[in-house]
Amino acid sequence: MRITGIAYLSWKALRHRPFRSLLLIGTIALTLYFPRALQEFISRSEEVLSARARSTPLLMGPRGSSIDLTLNALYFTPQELPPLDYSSYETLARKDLGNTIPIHSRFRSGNSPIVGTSLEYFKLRALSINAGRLMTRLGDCVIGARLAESKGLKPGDTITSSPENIFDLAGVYPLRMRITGILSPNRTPDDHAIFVDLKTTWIIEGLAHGHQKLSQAEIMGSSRNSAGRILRANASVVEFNEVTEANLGDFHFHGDYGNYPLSSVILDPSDKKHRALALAFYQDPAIPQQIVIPATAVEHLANTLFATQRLALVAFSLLGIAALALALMVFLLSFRLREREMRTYGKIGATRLAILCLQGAEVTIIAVAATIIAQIGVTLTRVAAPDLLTRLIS
Amino acid sequence: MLIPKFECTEGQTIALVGPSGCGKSTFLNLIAGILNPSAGSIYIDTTEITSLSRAASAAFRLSEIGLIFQEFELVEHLSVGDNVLLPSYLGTRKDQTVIENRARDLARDFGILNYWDALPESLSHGERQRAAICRALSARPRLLLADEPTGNLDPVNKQKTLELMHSSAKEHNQGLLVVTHDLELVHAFDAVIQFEEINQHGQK
Repeated sequence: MRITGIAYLSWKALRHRPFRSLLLIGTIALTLYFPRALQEFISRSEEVLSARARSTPLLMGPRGSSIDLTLNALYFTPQELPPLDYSSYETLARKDLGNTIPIHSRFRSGNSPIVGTSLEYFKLRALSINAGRLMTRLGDCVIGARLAESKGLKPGDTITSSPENIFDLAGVYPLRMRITGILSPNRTPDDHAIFVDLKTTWIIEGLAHGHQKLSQAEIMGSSRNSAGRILRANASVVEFNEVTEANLGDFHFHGDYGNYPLSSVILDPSDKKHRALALAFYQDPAIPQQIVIPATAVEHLANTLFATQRLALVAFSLLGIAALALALMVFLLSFRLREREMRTYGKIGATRLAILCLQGAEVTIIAVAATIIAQIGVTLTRVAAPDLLTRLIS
Repeated sequence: MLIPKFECTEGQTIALVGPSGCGKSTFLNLIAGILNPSAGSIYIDTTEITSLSRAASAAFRLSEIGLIFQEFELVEHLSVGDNVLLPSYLGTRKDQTVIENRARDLARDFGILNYWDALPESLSHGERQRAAICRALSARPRLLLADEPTGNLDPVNKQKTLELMHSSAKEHNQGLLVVTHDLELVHAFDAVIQFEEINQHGQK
């Protein structure tokens, strides 16, 4: 019995019925792929989440779900918790427990989060500029490498924030931002984000704005009272939707800074003692903020994911058994339909073993092809897991 | 079936005739080692095939006996070339290039080389039977057994098929045993045997 001859005959039989063969390969590959890919994805996600969480020592934010707070600060997911007052940030900064980095990640440009923060954020995450420079004034932004690549953006281009609700006339207006730099890729959510100065997010929020000078005579409809001293702006006053060198001085803030919103504050304590002090301070239930250890929050999230994975694996296993039984039935039916062909092999002089090998080789070729495809899929899933995770949760 | 003695010498061509159901095909299957007799022995040259194991008998058949069937029994998903080379794929021979060259020569002689890569379904009945004969001859067997090889062929192809089998048997000194109903074609054989003459079952 020639193994190559047997393998060749099996290959020919499979090639003669390509649809059936591909269907079998696909069914078996998917049966093998899903449970392995789910395990790989969750395991890799846990690694990626933990790595980012470990690089974020402490997180201060409004009371509520620690996971929501952590995911918003680390992955810029939509903000689920109420905003934090800027005064809370100032209070924490004044305690001098370590480096404090504000995060305001409420707004988006398309699917990309706009993250208002300070330059300290770039140091904490070890983000370097690949092209251009960091932002230097209101309305400037630095964007992640993947976002720049996907949209073909470069320094000097502009990107516009998305209005939150186009029917809300008094709501958030789009702000066109100047791109000053592109970050080097680091395969984290930062690759997809738009980083601006905190104050720029307040412009988007409408807490700060810039408009024509009301004293300009050409403003139609501007009025003075009888004394001629009070200016009343009306709808004809042009509001700037972009910060330029020319109108930079016309942007101004209304109200008290302390009431301005933030999403959270990253605290990088100077040492263990300051870390303990920070944790102790926010344990007081009277304080409306909480302090979270992101690694612990992620661990809770991972435990939930692993519990879900176990349930999913049971479901996949049952489906897998059904699919494999179906594939086995297809094989058996196929061999039954080809009984005459097998009889011919026997008459010519093939031994029973050779005929069994021939049938076994067909099953093996299908199984090996399915395993290879499933393995490639699992490897790709593992490689793509960080990006996939970012897309799924942000 | 009771056959006291039957002999076919090297290069001899024998036509076996008889009514349907008298056991001619069973007799061929016994000689080929596909079936085992309940008693007695069958020798091909010095090999007693009735004493061989099932696997050894199959291996012997693959290398020493060429079988030709009425229904051609070509494998539909294999090309004509692969069908001709089928014994070599199932066997243990390693000189595949030599075998393939010889098979191509055979196919040329039988006028089916142009269909080498075609599937059997694209061939006429006569061409299919020629491909089946090529398959039986490709392993250079010492004995050719043909069960109604012309049963499904038109008169022209019948004649041609028999001529090809005869010429191969003579050229390679192979024994040729053909079961047939077609009495018009049997005159070309060295011997024509009425199956009832050798089968003494019921005569005792």
